Amino acid sequence: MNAQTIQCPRCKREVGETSFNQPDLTQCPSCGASLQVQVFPALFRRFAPGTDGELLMVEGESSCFYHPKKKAEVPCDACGRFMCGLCDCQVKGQHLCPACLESGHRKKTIQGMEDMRMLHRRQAFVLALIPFLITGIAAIYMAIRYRKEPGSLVSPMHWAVPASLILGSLQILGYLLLIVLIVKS
Amino acid sequence: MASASKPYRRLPGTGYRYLIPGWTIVLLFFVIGIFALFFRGRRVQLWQGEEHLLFVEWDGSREYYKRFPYRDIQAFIVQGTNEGRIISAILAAVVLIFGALALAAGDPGGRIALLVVAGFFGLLLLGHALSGPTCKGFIRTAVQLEELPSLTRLRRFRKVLERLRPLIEAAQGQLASGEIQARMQEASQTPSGGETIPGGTVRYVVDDPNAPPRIIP
Repeated sequence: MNAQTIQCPRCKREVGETSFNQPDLTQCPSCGASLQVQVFPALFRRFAPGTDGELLMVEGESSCFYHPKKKAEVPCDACGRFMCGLCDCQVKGQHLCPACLESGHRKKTIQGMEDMRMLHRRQAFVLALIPFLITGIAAIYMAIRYRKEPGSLVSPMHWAVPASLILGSLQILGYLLLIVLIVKS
Repeated sequence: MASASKPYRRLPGTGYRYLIPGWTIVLLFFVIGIFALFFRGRRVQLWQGEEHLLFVEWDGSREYYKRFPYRDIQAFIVQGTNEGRIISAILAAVVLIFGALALAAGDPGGRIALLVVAGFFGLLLLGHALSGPTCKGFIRTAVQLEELPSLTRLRRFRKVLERLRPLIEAAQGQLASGEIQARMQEASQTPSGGETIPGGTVRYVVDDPNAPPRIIP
């Protein structure tokens, strides 16, 4: 993706700066599609080229744990291993090696890197609403099993655990009552 | 602003990443009924955070997140679509057909039933027309161009943009309209990331931040 240029989503041709930050829709000069482009200063920000790590020049100099022929530049903030410029991953001001970054992503220990969450609480609540005997039992099991698990990042649904327990129990009680009534009759 | 207990605030709009085109889902509805909704794909919503815009996809059991830090948002692009006009035309045709059938019907019961159906589609048409023109929204950063399926109405898109603009400007600064041309010229003249050697010649240039530097002999 080229910096400083915006492409028309339809024809993928470049849209001129005359279309930027206009109050209303303008026409794409190439395909005539109606467009509105709102740009921000980040579009013009320059990026410093990434480093690939300096090679070792002196015998006995500290080297990168992953690239023994490259000079160590910074230690990993999590495991302390020395890293070259290529291995240094900066996340929220921390210097992490690729292995710690991967492990942090997997274990969800790096804040702001979580990209997926299972919504067991919501599933338990949905199960509690479905009126089959087995769903009530499953709802109670899920509500207890995953009660401490963080819910959705945006709407955690803390009420779903007690609600699932109550609805699931009511479901089971209802079925038990039904069985008793059938047996009696 | 979002509080500590509620770090995100919901932005208007809900959309779906359709697995098959929308009109196919409508046709499938007549074949497999409500199960056609399984082909809608993931539900998409946007949430406003303190430092970033959160793009949330939900597939029924999991939520998937993408973060767009306000300091990295380069542009919002909106493309007007004809979808709204096509839907309006189809709904208007349905209303007309049922209205005409109601007028032609001799039985009063049948006439009322047909008028109810025409009225139902008429209400859908009214709601659709009041929602305004349709569009496709996109967000652009240095490394991606992401479609925003939750912003399919122009009015809604502008509303969201107005809510996000102060946050983005607080993170990046303001961009005056006259400044854009000057910045574009400056950017096209000065190669970014280049290194100047004592003779004053640029040894390499970085025209694309995602591509390796280009060495100039």
